[in-house]
Amino acid sequence: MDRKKDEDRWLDEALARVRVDVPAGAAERIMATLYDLPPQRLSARERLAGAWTRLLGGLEMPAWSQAATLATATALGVLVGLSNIGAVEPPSNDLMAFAFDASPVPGEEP
Amino acid sequence: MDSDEELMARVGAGSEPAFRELAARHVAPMLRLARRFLRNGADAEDVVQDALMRIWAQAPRWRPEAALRTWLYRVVVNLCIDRDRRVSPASLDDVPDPADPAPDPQARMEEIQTASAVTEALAELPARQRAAVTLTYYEGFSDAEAAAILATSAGSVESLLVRARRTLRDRLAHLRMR
Repeated sequence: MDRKKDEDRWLDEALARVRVDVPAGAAERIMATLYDLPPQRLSARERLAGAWTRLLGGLEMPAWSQAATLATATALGVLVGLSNIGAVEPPSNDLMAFAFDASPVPGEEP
Repeated sequence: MDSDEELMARVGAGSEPAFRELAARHVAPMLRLARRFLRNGADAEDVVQDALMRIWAQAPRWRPEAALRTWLYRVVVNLCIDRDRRVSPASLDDVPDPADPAPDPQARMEEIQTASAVTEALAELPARQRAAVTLTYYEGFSDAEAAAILATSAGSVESLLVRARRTLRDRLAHLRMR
């Protein structure tokens, strides 16, 4: 056991003998290259996905709930789009309320 | 002074001054890590420059789930491991100095030999073992932080360190006998 401890201590000391310094000017050389930054290229889809993720992340919803909300919103979006061109009946208020988990306001017609 | 995370949020919104401030804070430790890992100053500078460009490009997608420093180091370590696969020999200029040079020429020579042998032994470790040693021993990260950087568990880091130390002890045994 003592031998193992001695070996460990010796190894720690040996490792400590190696010093790596950052040579003068190296960091400055790298910083100098940062004055010509390329544009942050993000596709429209990535921007939309990022905004959506940040929105849902801010609401602190679990992943399954995020997926369900995304699926519901997509389905409703398609439904509304189709109803706008007269292909289907517009979604009812009940359906919209159910989709967004909104309780009906007392006294308000559904 | 803005926190790293506040700066990063501004970088994500496209602020170049915020990016340069963030880079200035971290460029030296990133460079030291890359130099330790790669043993080649030119490669280390390339890696850090590449890492910073990636951080700039990916900033809009960054989410504050972990400490920013962990993420920065993860980018550097991944690039170092990639670079390490395309082995480039260390230049003579990059052979490290002993940490505390002794005044006696004989002792100094022995220190240089030890530092050189340790550097060689570290370089021959598998990349992830070398990364674990570099992060925990030289950069002062805890096992948990190193695990976050290496995208693994703290237990795996411990296992990497045990294997690395065993290999180093064996490879450096001849120095201990002196």
